Amino acid sequence: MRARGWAISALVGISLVFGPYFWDPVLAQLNLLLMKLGALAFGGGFTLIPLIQQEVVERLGWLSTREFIDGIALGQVTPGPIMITATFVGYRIAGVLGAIASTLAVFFPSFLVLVGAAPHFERIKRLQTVQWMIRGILAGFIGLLVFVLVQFGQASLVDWKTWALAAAAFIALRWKVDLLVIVGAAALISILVF
Amino acid sequence: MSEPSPWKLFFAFLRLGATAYGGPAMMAYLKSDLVGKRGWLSDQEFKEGMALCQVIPGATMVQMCTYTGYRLRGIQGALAAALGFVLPAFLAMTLLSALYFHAGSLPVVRALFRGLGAVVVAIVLNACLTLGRTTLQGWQGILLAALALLAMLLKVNFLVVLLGAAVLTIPLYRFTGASPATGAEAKR
Repeated sequence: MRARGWAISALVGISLVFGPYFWDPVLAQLNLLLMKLGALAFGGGFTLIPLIQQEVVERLGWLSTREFIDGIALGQVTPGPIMITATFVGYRIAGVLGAIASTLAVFFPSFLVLVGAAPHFERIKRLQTVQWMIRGILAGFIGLLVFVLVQFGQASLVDWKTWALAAAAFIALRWKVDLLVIVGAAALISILVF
Repeated sequence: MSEPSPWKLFFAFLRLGATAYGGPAMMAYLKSDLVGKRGWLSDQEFKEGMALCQVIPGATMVQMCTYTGYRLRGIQGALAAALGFVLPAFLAMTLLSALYFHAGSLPVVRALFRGLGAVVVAIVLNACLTLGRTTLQGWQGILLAALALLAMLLKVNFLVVLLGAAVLTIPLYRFTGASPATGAEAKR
């Protein structure tokens, strides 16, 4: 059963890379890229945001910073993980097919890592060097996040109203107000004010 | 304890995936469901799963569901749990994306996203602080984060930045004697 599981996983991976290639080469490129980013999203998944911003928005220009920020906002009102923002990116690039492909691609690497690492975790835990390197990667991600924060700020905070709204939302987040409540209130205020 | 079938796992996690709103608080809900209500994991297993999911890449919540499926039913169970948990989010996001790209230019939608964009900035700032508090223990971490930011400003490729930060930890921690507390165990 274990061998069959691995065979299925391998098949999913191969078809993710090569399947879309015959359909649309852009989709194959997107899949490969999102698999790479999905494999790098250490620290709980939020780090996928700076990765997409660097690769898909800045380098490839497949969507604008503004659109990406809107996609992240949509990711707050959907249930589940923030990594689902990749679905939005896929939809932007190749419609429903892109959404399906990018969702599979972004979650697939971490799935493989989990299934591969789970039986050996006792040993991995004791490898000091691995622990250090993961800490290093997470520290590097803080730098990336600050960088992206500035980019997002430049795109979103355009007048005193948006600054005020961001400040209010931040205070509410620190006070542990429910995220859905914050987004709902912000939505209401936006429609009235802007 | 009889092991649930992959289909049962799929539907159980589908339900969880449809109701999983809002980050860290959700973890407690997940635990009460998987450990308390269903008894699929022991307290110890859940703790071990959390430790694992925090050091490997991926969304912690998805990884915890995958881990549970894996513990109960091997790779098939893992696949069933992961697909079930992500499916509601996927459907919601695809629907919202379709709406957004069809109605995105309406004035009311523009106004809406102008405000939500500001909220996203707040969310990213909050994530910086949350992630920073758990990972930037000691001056080495702060130094690495600062170097990473500098490198990003100098337009160094982010892969080089992350890899550099990972490799630099080895001399940094070896010669300055960092506390051996691992990120995973230091958290919660």
